[in-house]
Amino acid sequence: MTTTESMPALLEAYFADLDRALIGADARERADTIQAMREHATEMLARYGSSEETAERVIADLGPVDQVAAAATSAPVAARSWVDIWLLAGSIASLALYVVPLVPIVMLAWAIVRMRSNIGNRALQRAALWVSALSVVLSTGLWVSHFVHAL
Amino acid sequence: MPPSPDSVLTQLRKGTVDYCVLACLRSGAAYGLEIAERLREGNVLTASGGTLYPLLSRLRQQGWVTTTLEPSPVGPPRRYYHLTDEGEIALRVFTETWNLYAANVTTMIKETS
Repeated sequence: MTTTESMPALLEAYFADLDRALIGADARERADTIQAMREHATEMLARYGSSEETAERVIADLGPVDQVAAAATSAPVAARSWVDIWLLAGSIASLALYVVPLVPIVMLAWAIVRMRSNIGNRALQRAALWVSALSVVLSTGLWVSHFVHAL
Repeated sequence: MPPSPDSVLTQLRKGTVDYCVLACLRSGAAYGLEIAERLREGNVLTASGGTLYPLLSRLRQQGWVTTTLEPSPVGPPRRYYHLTDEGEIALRVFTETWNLYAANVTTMIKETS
């Protein structure tokens, strides 16, 4: 369920703080926790009436965001991912091979797929994305200028 | 400096609250606020009810509880937490271990006091 009903401003501010406090937490646990705590708040608002007074009661009931964050599991440290190392190496190679447009395009597509999968090393994936995007730009520029001169 | 009763309780809660949540669900499924209230009635949960939710997420990821959405008479659907067979086994193992350990600690404290 996605509890996205509007809440008193005080509670929205509390959940924004909670979201920031949980940045270092395991991604799934972070999403589950915020969702379940919003449901807890919605239940109390339905039970006691939607008002700033109830919002204060909900916040007192849930407790300080730092304490909730302390109870959450930390996100695992990004492991060395050989797939992403090869991705970055391939992207760098595509810079040298930018005259063959297929290579930079394939590397860019691979980098996008890896980033969207939400697994592996994000820093390597981001670097590969930028390098392969640069290769695509260079390759496109080369082929456009070649085409213009041919006309 | 001697520890305060609160700091002793905080340490003791660390390894036991998970199983108290499972024990809450043994009699039937419950939604988040209901579990928090049951734990408070048993003086198991601290003032910060929000700390229950990362724990429930972990129990779900471990496969010890599962969730379903059911209609609520007062608002949007409620997420009910159910004890799984695996959770029940985990609770049984904990209960047996805890009973023995608690008895040993009680004996030790009595003998040495």
